[in-house]
Amino acid sequence: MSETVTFRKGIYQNELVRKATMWLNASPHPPLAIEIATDRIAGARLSRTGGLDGFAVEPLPPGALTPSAVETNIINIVAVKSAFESVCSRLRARNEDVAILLPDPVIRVFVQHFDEFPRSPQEAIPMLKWKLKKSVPFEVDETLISYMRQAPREGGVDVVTALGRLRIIREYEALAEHLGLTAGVVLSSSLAAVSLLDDRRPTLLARVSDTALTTAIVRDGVLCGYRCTELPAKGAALTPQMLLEEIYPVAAYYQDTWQEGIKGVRVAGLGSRLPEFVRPLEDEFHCDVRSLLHTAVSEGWLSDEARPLADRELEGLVGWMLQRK
Amino acid sequence: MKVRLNLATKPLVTHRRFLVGSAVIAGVAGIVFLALGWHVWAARSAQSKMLARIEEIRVETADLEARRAKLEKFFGQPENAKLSDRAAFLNSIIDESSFSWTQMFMDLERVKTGGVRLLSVSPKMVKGNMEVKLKVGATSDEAKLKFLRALEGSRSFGKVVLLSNQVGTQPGGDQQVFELSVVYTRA
Repeated sequence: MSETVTFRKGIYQNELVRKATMWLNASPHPPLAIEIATDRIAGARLSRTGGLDGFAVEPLPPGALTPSAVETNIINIVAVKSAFESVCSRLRARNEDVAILLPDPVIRVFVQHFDEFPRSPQEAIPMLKWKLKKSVPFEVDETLISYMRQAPREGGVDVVTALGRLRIIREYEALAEHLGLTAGVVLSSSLAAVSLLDDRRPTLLARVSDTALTTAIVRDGVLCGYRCTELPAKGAALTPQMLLEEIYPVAAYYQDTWQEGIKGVRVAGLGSRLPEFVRPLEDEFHCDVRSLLHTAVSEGWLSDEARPLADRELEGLVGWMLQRK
Repeated sequence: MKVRLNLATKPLVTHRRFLVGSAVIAGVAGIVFLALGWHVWAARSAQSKMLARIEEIRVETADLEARRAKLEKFFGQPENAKLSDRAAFLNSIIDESSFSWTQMFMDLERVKTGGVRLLSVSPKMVKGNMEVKLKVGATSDEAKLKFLRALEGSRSFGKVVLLSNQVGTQPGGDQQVFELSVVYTRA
């Protein structure tokens, strides 16, 4: 067993082997993606080459959707269905696979370290369910679980696990099925947006969506930390101090565990209020603080085709589009 | 970084592993097939060349057999048989006359060991080979054996046959007197 592990570690040090393994293990990428948020439903159709073929955005009335990992999400079923249908119709979606990007509070994400981790999903999933049964506010039996292994900081294995309550996920999948679509991929918007980060150095993402704040730290292709919390205020009432108090635990955890500081902060979802938050964040983290999408555009990560999505701050869809490349 | 998580109840599955695996297996099978095909082609080609060569040899053998039969028939005629015997007789004379005594003595000198002396040497052409009868005297059994081993190990002499052996009776003379037949190969 240990010889096999050593051998695997050895071959994964090779850049080519690592890239080939990532390519083989890459998630399927349907060309149609729908991002659902509390205030809107947006969709994008990607071309065969990964460019943007078309996109559509439909607003949702306030209170139509209440993202939660536990309770019913779709409150105004008629409005949500109508918006979803309208987006799909404008994107000529019919009898095909679709990727649905859900609001972050719906999906719980954990980054855990294991000394030994089984390779087969048949063994790994029960183990993860058992480990996380006290961390989620619903029964293990009605849990959907997905995990990915990633390079550990030292020995052992780091595992990123996403959990969702079956009936909540089914609510969103039913929207697609109603139109003859198959929800082949279900992910949270922030997990899709993570691909917009420059992970060559430790970078923190702070993404605000309604009252939800998602904080994630990436470094060298590894998701080092992830936290989705509820902000005490939203919109104009949100202050830099409130944001900092929610971001700080993840940053402190990273600094303690990885023994290094954050080298970049990327913020999304603050819109025109971003400049108010830049200085306090810079003072706290002593690094550059910039908009997630503007950085991706200015650094040339995004093609011109993706600009319309970036202009509307659809970072989930932009990230999904980038994941294909 | 790319996140490979999917919470769909009916998740899309990537077929890349299967496709790559199939392609690799098909590639390996193709290479093996080509290698085996080349091997079979090479074997068949070699076999057909060999069969052609065997046929050539068979034809050549049949031709030589026919010529031999013709010659045997020719030499089987009474007037030609006499001529053949005469030619064989003349050839044996020529061979014997061209025999080099000096060379043979030099070769005998090389194999002769201590305690041995030659009493008589009589060469004779037998069936194209120069058969030499030697009468040798030795001072002891050990000297006799050494000489015989030297003859057997020599390139110039072969087919060593001991014809007779006598124990010497005269005091001070040879203890062993023996006759040998050897074939002198350098004649």
